[in-house]
Amino acid sequence: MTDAPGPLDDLPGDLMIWVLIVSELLVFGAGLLVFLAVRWTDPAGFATAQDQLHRVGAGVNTLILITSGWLAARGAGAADTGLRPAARWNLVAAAGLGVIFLAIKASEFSDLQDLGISTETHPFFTFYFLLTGFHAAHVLAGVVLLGVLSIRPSPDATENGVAFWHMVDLVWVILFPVIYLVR
Amino acid sequence: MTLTRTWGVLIGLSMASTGLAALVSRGQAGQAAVGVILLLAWIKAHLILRTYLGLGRSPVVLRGFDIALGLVMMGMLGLALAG
Repeated sequence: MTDAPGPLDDLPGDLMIWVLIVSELLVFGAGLLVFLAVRWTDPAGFATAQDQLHRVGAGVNTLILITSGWLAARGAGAADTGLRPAARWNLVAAAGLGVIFLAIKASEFSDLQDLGISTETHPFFTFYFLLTGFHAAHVLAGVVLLGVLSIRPSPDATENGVAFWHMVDLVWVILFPVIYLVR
Repeated sequence: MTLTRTWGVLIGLSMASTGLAALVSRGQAGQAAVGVILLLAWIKAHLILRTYLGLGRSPVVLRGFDIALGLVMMGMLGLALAG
């Protein structure tokens, strides 16, 4: 007699990648909740600080990450069906968009630095640099991962690596509106 | 929903939330906009989980993520409106 299938049996990818995804969501979710709680103490100061950010650049970065996620998902699909060249080029393109994301983010950090703004300037910027910097570190890790996967895109490794990239995407679609748009 | 259609919807929702934030200032309209922006973020997260991450194949887990993220988003909305 066999056991009835459980809800986790249909989970795509390894269980550990989902443990990682949940862990990252908890960390960023807690950070964003604390950010909004601190904002409560100085809403005017937070709004003034938020006006220094590149809202359009961050909006463009959202489109870049979403498109990169689409390419990565296509790459995983191609790897799953044995289409290695298609998998490789989709993964390379996804990683390339990740590099563009990082370049735009670095430009924003640099412009803020030129204005004399640092983590010490205002609590808004403490959270801003911490949360978006931590996210950017994940983007960098994802770019390296996609690059390595593109060399030999096996189905299982690609599925898990691409899931990491989608996690980066998922965190950004929650982080972006809270940091850049909520006023 | 296919992968490419999901990508198109995600692009549309992202442009809508950025455009809304640019159009609406503070005040009552701003507070309503905050609710819409966070709702759009929740929908985008749902779409990424369902189609990009493939949780459409595991509806129970997808529902768990939806509920958990929904509760966190409601907490964020409460804090944002209180501020």
